[in-house]
Amino acid sequence: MSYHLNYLFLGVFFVGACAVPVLALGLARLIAPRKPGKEKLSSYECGVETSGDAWVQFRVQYYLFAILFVVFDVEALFLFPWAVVFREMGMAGLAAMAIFLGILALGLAYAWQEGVLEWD
Amino acid sequence: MGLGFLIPAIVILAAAPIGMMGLTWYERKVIARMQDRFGPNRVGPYGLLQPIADGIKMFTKEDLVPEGADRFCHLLAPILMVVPSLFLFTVLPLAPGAVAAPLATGLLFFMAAGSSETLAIFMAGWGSRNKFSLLGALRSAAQMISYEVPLLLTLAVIPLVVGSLNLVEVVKAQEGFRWFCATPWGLTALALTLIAGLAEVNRTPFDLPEAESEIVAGFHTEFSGMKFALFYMAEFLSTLALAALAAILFLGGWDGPAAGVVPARWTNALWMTAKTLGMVFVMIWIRGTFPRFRMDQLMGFAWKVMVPLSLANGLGACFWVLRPGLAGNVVSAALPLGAFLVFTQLWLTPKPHLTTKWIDPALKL
Amino acid sequence: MRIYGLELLRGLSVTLGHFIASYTEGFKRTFANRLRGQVRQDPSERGIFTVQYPEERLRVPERFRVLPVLIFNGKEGEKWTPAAERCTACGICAKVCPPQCIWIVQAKDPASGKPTPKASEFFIDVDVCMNCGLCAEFCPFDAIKMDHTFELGGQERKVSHIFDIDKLHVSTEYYAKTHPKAWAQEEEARRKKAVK
Repeated sequence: MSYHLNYLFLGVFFVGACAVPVLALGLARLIAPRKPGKEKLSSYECGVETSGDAWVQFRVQYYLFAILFVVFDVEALFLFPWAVVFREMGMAGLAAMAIFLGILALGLAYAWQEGVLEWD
Repeated sequence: MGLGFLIPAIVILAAAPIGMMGLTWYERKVIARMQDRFGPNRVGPYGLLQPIADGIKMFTKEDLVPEGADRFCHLLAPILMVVPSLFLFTVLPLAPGAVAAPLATGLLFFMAAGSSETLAIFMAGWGSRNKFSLLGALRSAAQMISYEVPLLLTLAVIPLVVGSLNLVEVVKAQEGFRWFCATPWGLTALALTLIAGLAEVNRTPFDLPEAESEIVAGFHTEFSGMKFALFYMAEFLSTLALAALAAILFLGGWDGPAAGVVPARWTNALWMTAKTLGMVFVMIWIRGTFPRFRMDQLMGFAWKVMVPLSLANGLGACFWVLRPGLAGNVVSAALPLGAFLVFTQLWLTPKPHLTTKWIDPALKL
Repeated sequence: MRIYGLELLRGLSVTLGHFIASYTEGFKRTFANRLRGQVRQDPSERGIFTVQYPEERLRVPERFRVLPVLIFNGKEGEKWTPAAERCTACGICAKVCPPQCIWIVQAKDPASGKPTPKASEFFIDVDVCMNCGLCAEFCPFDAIKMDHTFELGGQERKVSHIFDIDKLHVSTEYYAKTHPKAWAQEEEARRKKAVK
């Protein structure tokens, strides 16, 4: 019962947590002055005229790191349940996870060797 | 079943803004002292009313949405930033029984809520339609996903040793001064958690997403007034939650000598608060000491030092569990230490075949 | 092979040292009579260096110069009189003033209508004055001198920032107090001249 109650609590809390920023923004909207102007609303670029669009392509290296992240994040997904029952599995469990992690570590070492991790 | 479970929700929602205000004061005071200054001392005694003055100012500032921005993203980002940072506190126990939601997956829930802030930051950067903001958002995404990996790998040692992800169980396992920071793997994990955690909450020296001097506050360049204040609030709440998490996982949480006269619950809550503030102090101390990382150093440090180090530390913790006593201690101390020495060398020793890969050799640089 | 990370720890110890010293030095300043009320300005000292301005002030150096003032022979608190005034309305200061902020009207003898060597009006526009001190350098009568008063902020520009002859006059006693060295030298020179 308390298991479900916890999640019910989180649901109620979500409503409350949303109320905090919404109330703050609403109150500020009532109090704060509103005098928009063309110069004021142009996007900030160190004082000079805005040139070009900000929504542009960006370097591919971000995606390389994102792929590495996905690999290791999925691994962490396996790691946590394994870690909870680690004591029951003992050495055999360690060996199994060591092989799994070893393969991933090899992948990381390969990426390192290939210069993927160099940000230049 | 009544509405009794609403009380913790109200307590958290009321205490969070106050805690955030107190934290801004605390941070400014500590940083000031480290720089031989007084810090805020004009508004109220010891400047204690300064956060309130700041809050009033934030409420009365105009809210600007730049032309061409995605208004929906721009409005939603600060809200989405604050909500998860409030959720962080639901799983953190203050004293025995004083926890809003003692989830069986508490640690995982904390990590999930914490990392969902990346999304809000990216929304803010993209929605602003500003080059600085986009750069800040991209940096933020790259940084947060990179440090997420060592943080998760490091925190995996906790269920490894305790056998539970419930933070209440974690504290119970440390009761009676068996704090994890007194073990070799625990000390390493505490350091790694602090470093990776600082990167997760975008604090100096990992504040590249909002570097004032290079990308003018990054993802919140185009945010003003209350929206800006909400970003700040989320950041400080995350800092507080992270400090509390470190105190719970490695410093024994509420565990500490009781005074005897006052009820144990009160001393427990006091110990927890003191440890949290102590961890916050360490984070402010780091901010007061170190300059900002460079982007390549930041990514290199995450993948080339933190990840191997957290893996080595996890292996050490496995040995510590399987072979209790001296052998386990020595192995779990030697593994991360060796990994640190080896991987900092590998990271920082120049590798010409990698660094000059794209440069024409005829240039003889 | 280098061991990395040790200098990071050293850096942390430096900032912690400053953090602690700011409190220990603060307590020393609060409880030791000898040090109370002094401002820390020496680089060898530790602790908080902030001078909390409106309450605490640094002594300005003697040759610090802000606005010119007119000197009259007398005590502090007295009102100036044409008899005690040193200025002869020769107008040299107004001529050398680079931004031309000095404006003098020579006094006239009410009986004969002839000009007398006294100033009847003397204005300085303090917002135009650039504090160069040339007027004081050139004055042959030691009548115009640079002052130390620097808190001159105001709400408007046309009235309160045009100092008139009453506002500009200070006594020799005041000048001797703010500029003891220069005053001693000038007195010495005057004495020698008188002996000759």
